[in-house]
Amino acid sequence: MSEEPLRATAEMCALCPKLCRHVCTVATVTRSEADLPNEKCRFAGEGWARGHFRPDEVEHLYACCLCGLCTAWCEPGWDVPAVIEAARRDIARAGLAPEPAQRMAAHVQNLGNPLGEPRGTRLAPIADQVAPLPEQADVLLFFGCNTLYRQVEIARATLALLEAAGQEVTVWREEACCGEPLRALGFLDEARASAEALLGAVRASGARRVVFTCPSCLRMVREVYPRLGLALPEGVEWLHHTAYLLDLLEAGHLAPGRALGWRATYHDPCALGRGLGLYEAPRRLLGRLPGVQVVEMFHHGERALCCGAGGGMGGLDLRIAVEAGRKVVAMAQAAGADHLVTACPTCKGSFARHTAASEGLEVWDVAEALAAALEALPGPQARRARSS
Amino acid sequence: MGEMLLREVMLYQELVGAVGERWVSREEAERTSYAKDYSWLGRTWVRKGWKVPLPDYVVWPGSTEEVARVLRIANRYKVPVVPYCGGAGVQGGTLPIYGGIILDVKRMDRVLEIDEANGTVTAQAGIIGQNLEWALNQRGLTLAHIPQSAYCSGLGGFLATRSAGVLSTRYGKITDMVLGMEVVLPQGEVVRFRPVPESAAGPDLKRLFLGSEGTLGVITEATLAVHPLPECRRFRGVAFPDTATGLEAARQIMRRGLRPAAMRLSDELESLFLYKRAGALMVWCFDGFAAQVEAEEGEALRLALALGGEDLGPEPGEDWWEHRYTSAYPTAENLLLKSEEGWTIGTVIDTAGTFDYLRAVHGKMSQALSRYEGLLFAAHFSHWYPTGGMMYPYVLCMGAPDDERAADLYFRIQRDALRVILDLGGTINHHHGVGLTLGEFMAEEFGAAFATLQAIKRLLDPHNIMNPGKLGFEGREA
Repeated sequence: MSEEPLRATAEMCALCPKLCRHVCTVATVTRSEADLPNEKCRFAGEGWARGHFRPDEVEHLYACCLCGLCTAWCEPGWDVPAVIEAARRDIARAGLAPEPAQRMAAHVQNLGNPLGEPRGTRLAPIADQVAPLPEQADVLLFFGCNTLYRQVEIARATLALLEAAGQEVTVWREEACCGEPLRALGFLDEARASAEALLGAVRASGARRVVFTCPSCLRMVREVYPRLGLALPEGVEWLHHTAYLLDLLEAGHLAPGRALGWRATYHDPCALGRGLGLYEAPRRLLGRLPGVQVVEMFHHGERALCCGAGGGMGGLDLRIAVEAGRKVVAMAQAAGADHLVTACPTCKGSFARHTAASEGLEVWDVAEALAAALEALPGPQARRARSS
Repeated sequence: MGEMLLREVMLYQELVGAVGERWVSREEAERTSYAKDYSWLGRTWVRKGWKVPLPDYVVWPGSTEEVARVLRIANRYKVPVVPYCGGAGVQGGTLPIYGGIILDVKRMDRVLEIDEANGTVTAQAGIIGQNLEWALNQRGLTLAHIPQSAYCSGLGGFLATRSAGVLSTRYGKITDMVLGMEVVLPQGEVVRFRPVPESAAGPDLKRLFLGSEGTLGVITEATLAVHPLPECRRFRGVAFPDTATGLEAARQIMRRGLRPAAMRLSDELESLFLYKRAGALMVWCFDGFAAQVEAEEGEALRLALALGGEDLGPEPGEDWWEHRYTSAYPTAENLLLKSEEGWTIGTVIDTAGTFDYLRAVHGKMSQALSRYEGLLFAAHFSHWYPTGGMMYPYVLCMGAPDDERAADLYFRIQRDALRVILDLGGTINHHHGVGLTLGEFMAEEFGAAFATLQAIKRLLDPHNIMNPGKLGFEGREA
């Protein structure tokens, strides 16, 4: 059962008059008091005191995107996601995790991804780009499950950009899940094997930089692997692709010349913004693209809304994820944007669900936008043709 | 037993039929989440793990028609219904003391129309205050209803408790902002009051439902007056030698026709706590166009200085505004958890009256409560009118027994404080409502008119299903 500081956090949060209820990603969809952070903390505290969790408490403790928006609005800064993560871990250890969570965890362990996709097909859509890459290189590009199985355009664009910038790049040819879904769903103990495999691949690649297209994977490595007692290889930089691409752009290795003619707004992914504190790099990168006017959504930066799919919500309760994602799309439209740009494959998938049939708003990753603005690379028309 | 069970099954099924299965719950975690509010009573009982009455069902209707369906069902089964929005009240108004149905209106949270030309907004009652304010801010407008609970309470609750925000001196209480309203009566009829600025078409019946706290029906929608976001907002602090001088300054400012958005006078003890200085400190917030703010603030300052006030510049006011929510967050300091002197009691006894009353009630209440060992009495005055204002005493008792006897002490203190209020001719509450905790004082507040109010309640709600036992109205068999 959980350690003392988390119990104290849970006790404090449970006494709040609900001062984050106006933004809570889940409770603003379900409208239930039991889905508010303070009540989840109460359930956690009571479960810990009792020594076990009731099934109805489990249900609410898994109704959370772990987006951290509550903490961003909390003046004392009580770390609610940490409480919920700890409670989920105790629940999972007791074998009481909800069936979708157990299924996703089993998929990670058996298939190397939480989506139930076959292991061997992971790199197949980009096989042509990957085939010529060396086994060892200065940069290891790690894509993550959602990029490869759901938003492969991000992988294509990022690989193409790194090549165009003259980078020596390799990939992990047996790439598998980093273990982040296991952590989010309460199976942190089981994430160790995923973590060891990833770190082994990094060592074998000889890379000095590991670049991630998924901010959740990056956060998992940077923040959680050390908690698992795993030492990160010395001298290796762990970077998000937006930060690395911005460096390449500012160093003159990439020269975007094609005017895009976009009115774009940038959505801060929870894991990248609130999680890793990276707000400026994607905006600066987007702002440097020719013909792109950047407008902010009403909620952005540290208090950006969640796409709805964090914390495993896409697999736990798709209805919540869908409704939460719709709010961000509506906010982008209210800002007058014609392009909603983000830097996370999960966020992109959440939004694309709502904009697929819409003429007025397209959803892109920052890397795709940069690739579209490079005359040497296939432009937006080609991208759309590839995706269809 | 079998008969009871069947009745419960049928009630549940009818509720599901009315709003859909997703929007009815009878699970324990959900029911316990609706069994508390932010009153001292509600919080203490939950925190101590003492037994609290639970609702039997939680229902989230999605439309006015669904609200009406739920009320018709509740009438047929004669089960209590407690309308619920933010559940952030401090008087026990939403505690389901007789069980029954919690009717949560938060699914009805849409802004239906923003009419910029006429300066109105129409919204459903379930919208949370801050979300309504943000929707308006994005159009350059403000409702300017900003209570400390803006993040956690909603429009329905504001209207049902006659709430006031910190800027009420300029923009009014929520009751001053309402043009029209939609209400579902206890038996399911839907009534709508026309959204007009004023009327002389008989009595203003919509006001009957403002402050009704869910006892006379369910407010489902309202049209409210909105304002352009102020071009200029300026803060200032002034220190007075004592509370009495500060009160005189407030009187002169209001009588002069000035309308600060906020004017908050702390008595000597609160000044010491909040601003770490002797005397009585007053902060102002002036809103408007620049020349207007300049003129109003200048005139207020002239009056204050003439009374011996010391100009402290913008900092104290800006600091107050910046930290206006801070004391509501759960920290060991705010909750006095570090107190080693026993359990802590905190009462909510905001009262209003004329300027004479405010001068008298501060001293007399403080004196009346001085007999309690370990009691701390500090107060601030805000929410001003041309004829008077509000006093909000912060009454803390840190030597309370650590068991149910704390409630005895809580109500003893409250009765003594309320005795002073009623004897001096003030009102028992200014902006938090009556709920459960002040119900016993309603008969005296209303005098002979309370029988009229009771008669109206019986007429509208013959089966007494609507939030029974609140506002001093009749309860039910437990």
